[in-house]
Amino acid sequence: MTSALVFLDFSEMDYTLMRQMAQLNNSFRIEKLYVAHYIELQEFSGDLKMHFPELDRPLEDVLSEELQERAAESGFDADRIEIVLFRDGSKDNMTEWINHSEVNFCLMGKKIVHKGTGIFSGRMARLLHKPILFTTETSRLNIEHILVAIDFSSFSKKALNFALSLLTNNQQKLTAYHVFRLPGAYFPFIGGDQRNLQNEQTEAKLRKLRNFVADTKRAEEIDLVVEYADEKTLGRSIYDHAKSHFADLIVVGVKGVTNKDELLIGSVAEQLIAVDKDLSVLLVR
Amino acid sequence: MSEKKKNKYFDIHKPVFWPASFLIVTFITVTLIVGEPMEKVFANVQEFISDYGGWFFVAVTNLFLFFCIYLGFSKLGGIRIGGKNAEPEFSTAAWFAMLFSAGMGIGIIFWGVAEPMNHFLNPPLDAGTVKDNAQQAMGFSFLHWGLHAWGIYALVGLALAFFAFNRKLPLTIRSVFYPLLGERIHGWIGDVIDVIAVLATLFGLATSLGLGVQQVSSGLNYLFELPDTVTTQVLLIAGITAVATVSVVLGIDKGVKKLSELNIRIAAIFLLFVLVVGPTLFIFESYIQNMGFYVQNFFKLSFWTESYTPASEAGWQNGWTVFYWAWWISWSPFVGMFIARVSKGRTVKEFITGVLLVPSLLTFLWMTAFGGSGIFLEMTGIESIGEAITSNVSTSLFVLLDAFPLSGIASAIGVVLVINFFVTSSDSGSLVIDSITAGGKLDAPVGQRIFWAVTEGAVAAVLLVGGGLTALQTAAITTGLPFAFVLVVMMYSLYKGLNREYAIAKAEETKADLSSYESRLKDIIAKRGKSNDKPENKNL
Repeated sequence: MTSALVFLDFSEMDYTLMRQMAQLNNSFRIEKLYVAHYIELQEFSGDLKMHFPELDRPLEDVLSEELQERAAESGFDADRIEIVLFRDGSKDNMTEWINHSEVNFCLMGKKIVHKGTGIFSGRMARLLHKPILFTTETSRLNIEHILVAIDFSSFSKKALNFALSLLTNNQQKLTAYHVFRLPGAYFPFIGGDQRNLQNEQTEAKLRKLRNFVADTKRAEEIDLVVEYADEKTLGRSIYDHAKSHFADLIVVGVKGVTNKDELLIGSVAEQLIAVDKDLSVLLVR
Repeated sequence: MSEKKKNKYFDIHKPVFWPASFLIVTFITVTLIVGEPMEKVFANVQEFISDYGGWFFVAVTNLFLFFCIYLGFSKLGGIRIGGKNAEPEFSTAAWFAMLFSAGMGIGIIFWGVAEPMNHFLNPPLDAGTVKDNAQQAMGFSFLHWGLHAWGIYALVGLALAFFAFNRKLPLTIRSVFYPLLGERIHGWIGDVIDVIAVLATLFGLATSLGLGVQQVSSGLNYLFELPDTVTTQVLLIAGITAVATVSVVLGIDKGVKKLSELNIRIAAIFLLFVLVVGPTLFIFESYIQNMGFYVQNFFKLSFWTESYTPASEAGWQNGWTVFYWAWWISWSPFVGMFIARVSKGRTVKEFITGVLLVPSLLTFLWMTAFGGSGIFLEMTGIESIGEAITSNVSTSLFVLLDAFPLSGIASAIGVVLVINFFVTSSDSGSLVIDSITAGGKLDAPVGQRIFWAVTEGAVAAVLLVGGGLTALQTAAITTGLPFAFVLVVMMYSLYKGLNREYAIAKAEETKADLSSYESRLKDIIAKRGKSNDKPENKNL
């Protein structure tokens, strides 16, 4: 049984998110959908009544009703939906609750057009222990091409498996993508042979990627791509490749091979969920 | 005069222009009428202010410097001049060059040899041996020309730049007080601040011009044996001011810009020349050692107030340190405005480190090359130049050059350099004063700038007539004192302004989110708050 959680914030984005959730339902057969909202009233000073003179019953009731209505538009049955409201000052409670819940993955918006700051989504990316899918209002809901960024870590194995579980028909395409750098120490010594070294490395990485993918037993469904990062950051290389090959979704492990405990989220994942990248990203843990 | 014609030549902010002009004209008239006895008056005023206010100058210059360092390295250091997306208008190399040029001027040419030599021959602190005296002389010269001077300029420059580029206020001193006064900066308090700034700038500038012309006169005396008298000096001021006026009329691009570029080149060649013909190895060695001494004795030198010196022997500091601090303070609107205009797009941290270090290091090299060479000649006994320098400080550069090859050409270049600096200082000084008296406009009519260029020359001439070097120093100290108070308040105002900028930047990140969130909640409540009884309305 799959259960999912979607964050709504009462913006237009909510409808996109719910449609996206309906699409994901095709892959996952979602039994239970939590529709969550975080009430951010900390900044409003004084009485709620002052701010909202028309409010004549508990704010939670009003908001729950609205969430229910928004969620219903996507065609989920009311009995599969559960509304969860979190009051401000309790972000820890919220993440705690979600982390201990049965939720298999979360969906949240990453606003590109109606620019938000990405503070909330950034924080969730750090604190939630569940896979999170960040969707932008411009992304295609119908996922036809998935790009999985792979660095051979255990996180990328999970990312690859998750991406495979998203495939529902053989029209969909999945690319396993690896991008590499040459260690800086080589540079002073390699001189003119740099290109050779790059090619050699590309070959070697491609073999490694083939082996890595073979473990899934579904290697025939996966395209393999290896690139040299050159001057770009790894995150930028992944994004650019995804963009230029019309991928609809990037799947990436929350951390990479440099799995440091104190790091809540790796730099590549961080780069990919940054607000300036208008592609859906799925962070897998 | 028709209204239209009037506007063509004058575009003034009356409450600043008239009081400032009135005070200056009164000063000139009184000095001319009283004549010689004014020298006594000047001496008394100088003595009074530096006796009673000396400690204040020492305290505030330290305060300004440490405040700047704090700003640069606190959380506020990340604030960018011109807003967070501003890009530097000049490359870092060009910016450094401009800061270098801000550090060059008449003062350093006049005092470059004279100051270290004077300290060496009359050691302020009894250091003991000759070599200790020499070291201490360089230390005090570095103190006067180093970080403290640039701390003052950095404060004023940063404040002007911040309020002009981040707050879009006019580029004038009163704008800096916006966080404290609000819209009242446009009222009489603002006018008073600007009048003080104009007077400080004008007298600070006149001091430089007066020093410059004394030096030119000594140089001409040395080269052509022209009489080195006040009459010659006044005639020189008239002549050079006329040249400056031509440069003013030609406009910034054709006039002052070309001349400044030329000047910096000549100054660089001049410095290289002395490095080569002078005791080259000694200069490089002592440059390093002097900086070490300066760093090592930084606190001792900069907090020393002559407190335990018996009254009969005291007075050294009044004539030097206090004079310099006052002079730099009175110069600060001038230099501050220049560095403000070239520093858009820099962060506070870049600004502070750049403005404090770049010109200081250059000045130290100059001081070491010129003053150090003088001390070298004196110490090694190759040539005794001390007596000539103490009897007339304005000859010191030429006395030094005399000891080296090609002294005739070098001295002539020195004279040209000073004249040229006179012209560019007068021209750009009138630009600054003009902009303040025109309410912050940068393109005020030429007529006004000619007026200010002539006034600067007149004030310098009058000061020379009324008492020579003492009068010049008095002018700087007297106008520096009120402006020092202005700077203390400026410090607080800038701190408030920067803190607010920081808070705004932080708040802006969440504010956009929150206000749209609030309005979304409002919509939902408006839709549902009272709709319990009529649920079918919800889709309307």
